[in-house]
Amino acid sequence: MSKTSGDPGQVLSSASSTTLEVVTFFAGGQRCAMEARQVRALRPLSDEDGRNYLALDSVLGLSELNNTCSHRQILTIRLPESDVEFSVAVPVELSKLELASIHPLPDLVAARTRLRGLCALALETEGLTLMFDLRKLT
Amino acid sequence: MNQQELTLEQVLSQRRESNRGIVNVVESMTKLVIFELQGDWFAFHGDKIREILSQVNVFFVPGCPPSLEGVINVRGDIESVISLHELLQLPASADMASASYLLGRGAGMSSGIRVDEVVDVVDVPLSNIHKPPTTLPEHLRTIVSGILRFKEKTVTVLDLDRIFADYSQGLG
Repeated sequence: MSKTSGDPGQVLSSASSTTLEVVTFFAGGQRCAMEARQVRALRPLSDEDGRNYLALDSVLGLSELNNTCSHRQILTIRLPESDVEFSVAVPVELSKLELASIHPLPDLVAARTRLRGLCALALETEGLTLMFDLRKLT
Repeated sequence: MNQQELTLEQVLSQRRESNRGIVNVVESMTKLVIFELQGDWFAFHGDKIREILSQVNVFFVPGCPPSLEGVINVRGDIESVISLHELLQLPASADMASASYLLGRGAGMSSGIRVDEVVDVVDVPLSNIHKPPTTLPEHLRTIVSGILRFKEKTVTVLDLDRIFADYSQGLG
């Protein structure tokens, strides 16, 4: 997975034909990703607003780890009706996934997964990345 | 008349014998992939198994039942891997290192199936496969398609179409 620096809310949808631009994060100890075009912004989570945001981990069906304000950020997701904000553990990075590494869910995984919005798997030398489509949460 | 000469009756008899067509009894055969799980032998029909793999890396996928052990990379594509132990109500295998993986296709789906060991791939006459006994335990009745004897052991033939269809609906 190649990485680029910068705010994922500012650098979106510039993927070349062989890569897909994604925002990666860890949820439940598992590397996860979503299309960068679904992310509007990322900002630090302050102590004041720590309890006001749903943790993305639990929304996706993954166990929530590292849920302290200082280690989480607020991710603003573009959904069809309106934007939604979730807290997510750091690090959150803008990356590119090779298209060849992205696979649709195997039949039995698609049928039996309890994870909400899981739509694909990316298999790279570093390991497996769960890919989510947050539009499927609604 | 020479005593060695045949009688007309013998000649005609031999003639009838030679004219009798040779009837070849060709028995229908089927290929079976026989494998072991916890000391018991099971089999899938060979046309349902695309490939047999060993020593593959299984990547855990969270949020799936324990019997869905993860996914494997098969030459650039990924396949799920399931274990049949729970479905067959067998204890889990301790030795994962020597496991083999059958790439199966059934009910319009495909998946890897982890087995303890592949015993053999054989062609057997269909007549050797008998209907499962009525005494079969409840949990096996829908997924067992037959029984045969092979190398002095009982082999339970499993219906992969039914297993995948039922598994996708929540069985196991």
